[in-house]
Amino acid sequence: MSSPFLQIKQHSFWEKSDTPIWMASSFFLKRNLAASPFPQKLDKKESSHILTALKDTFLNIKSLDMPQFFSFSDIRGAEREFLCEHFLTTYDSQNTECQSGVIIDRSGTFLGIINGEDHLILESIEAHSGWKEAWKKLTEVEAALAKIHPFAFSNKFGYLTSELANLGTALTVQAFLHLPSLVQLDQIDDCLIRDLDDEVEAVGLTGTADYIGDIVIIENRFTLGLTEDHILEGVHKTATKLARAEKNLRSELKKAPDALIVDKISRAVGLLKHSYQIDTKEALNAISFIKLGIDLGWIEGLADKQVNRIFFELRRGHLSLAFNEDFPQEILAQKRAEYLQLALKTIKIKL
Amino acid sequence: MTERPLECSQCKKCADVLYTEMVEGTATTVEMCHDCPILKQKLEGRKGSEKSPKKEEGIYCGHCHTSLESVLMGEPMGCQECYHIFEDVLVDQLRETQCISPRLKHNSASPTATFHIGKTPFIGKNPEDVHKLHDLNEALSEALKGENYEEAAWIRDQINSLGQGNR
Repeated sequence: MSSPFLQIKQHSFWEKSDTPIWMASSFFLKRNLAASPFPQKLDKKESSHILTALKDTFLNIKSLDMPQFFSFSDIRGAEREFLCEHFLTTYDSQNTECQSGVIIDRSGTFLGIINGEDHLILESIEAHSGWKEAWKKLTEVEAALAKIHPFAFSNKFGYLTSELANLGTALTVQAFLHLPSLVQLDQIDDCLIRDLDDEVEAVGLTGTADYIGDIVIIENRFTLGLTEDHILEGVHKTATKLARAEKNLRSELKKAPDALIVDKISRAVGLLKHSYQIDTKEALNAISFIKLGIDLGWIEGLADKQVNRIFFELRRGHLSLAFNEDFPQEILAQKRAEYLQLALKTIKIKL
Repeated sequence: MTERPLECSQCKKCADVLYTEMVEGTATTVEMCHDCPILKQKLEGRKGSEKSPKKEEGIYCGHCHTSLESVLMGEPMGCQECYHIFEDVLVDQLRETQCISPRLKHNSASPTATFHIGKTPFIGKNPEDVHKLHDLNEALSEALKGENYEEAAWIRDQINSLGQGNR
């Protein structure tokens, strides 16, 4: 039986990104209902009641484009992984007693998690450097929910969440930047020291300073003691500075190619076109060079937007969903190599 | 780039103690915070079932039954009421775990300090106040951007009084 999430995959908005450097922006808002214990303290009956109430409200919100509800108990492992990969998110541990689910709209840019770590985790993503639409959509959905379900709030602590680290605005903003020149030429640390203020931090896809695929995520460190505007502005300002530094470096590379970068791009083409097995990290690191090579005009035969799609589709959840099967690790590495060979067969090095 | 502070392996606060334990010839070292209840338990040689009564133990939230001990361990909060009942402990934890923006640190010493300066839920109550609040929030952002903390404090008071008026 095919997965209901294949539709999101087939109409992936990741191909619509308008810039090769600033890949996406993501906005998370966490909310809890004032009248009820938080999800970790709910039993099956209470959580089922909350799930139904929130789901009914969600499905009638006009700013969402044909929202669909999926119960977590009906979502299999690969589908859950696919959602995490598509929405660039992680699902925190949940109370197994808790009835929980997700709401996704047709565009694949909005995700609402009910009874996760908090009663509501709202996420909106935008696959290009502008982010007003995603933020507007998120605030509209939050306002529509707040009209019917009063949220837990105190004047002192702001919006109340199960984790203290999310209190206050309960807003997390992330900018996903592809910075291969800065990372590979060892300039990223200097840039971060220069451009990162105390209110934002830089992490990789795994939440550490290991920038897999040369993706650097700029996100706010604090949700408390700042206004929403301040958080948005802080992340935007830093991300813009880093994107500009990467762009300048790429302009220099175009004028005077760096031997290290040329070598890495050439090797990446060879690796991706001729591997028999390849794991996610190795593939993401190599595809990063393909993406850079295309932007520098050193590789032809594929557009940057298509590489963005490949960037997601080589990951485990996307691959498993495409083949409609949960593969063991070694078979998955083989399937990934096959997929990449096919997806990149048109590329040629121009240098 | 600022490195993340090391976390206590037990309660996720900043770690400042290295605790090494020898069990059957094997040494295990863990990072803990100095006031971690687990560390105290280990140093005092108590087991879980032999807890001696302490002043703060036995305090529970009447709404969701979250205990003070679990709050001290850094476990998730259980409900809105917990924030009222454990307010003092939470304020200490927020400061220790550096969860408050440094911009507010200068005036967060007061026990009555308000940490939240973002939006407040006024939807459907008084539309005029919603607009006023929006303007105040913008003004607050500007004041903070210009590091004009006195003006920011005044604006925050206005926002808070607006909030109380709508409650």
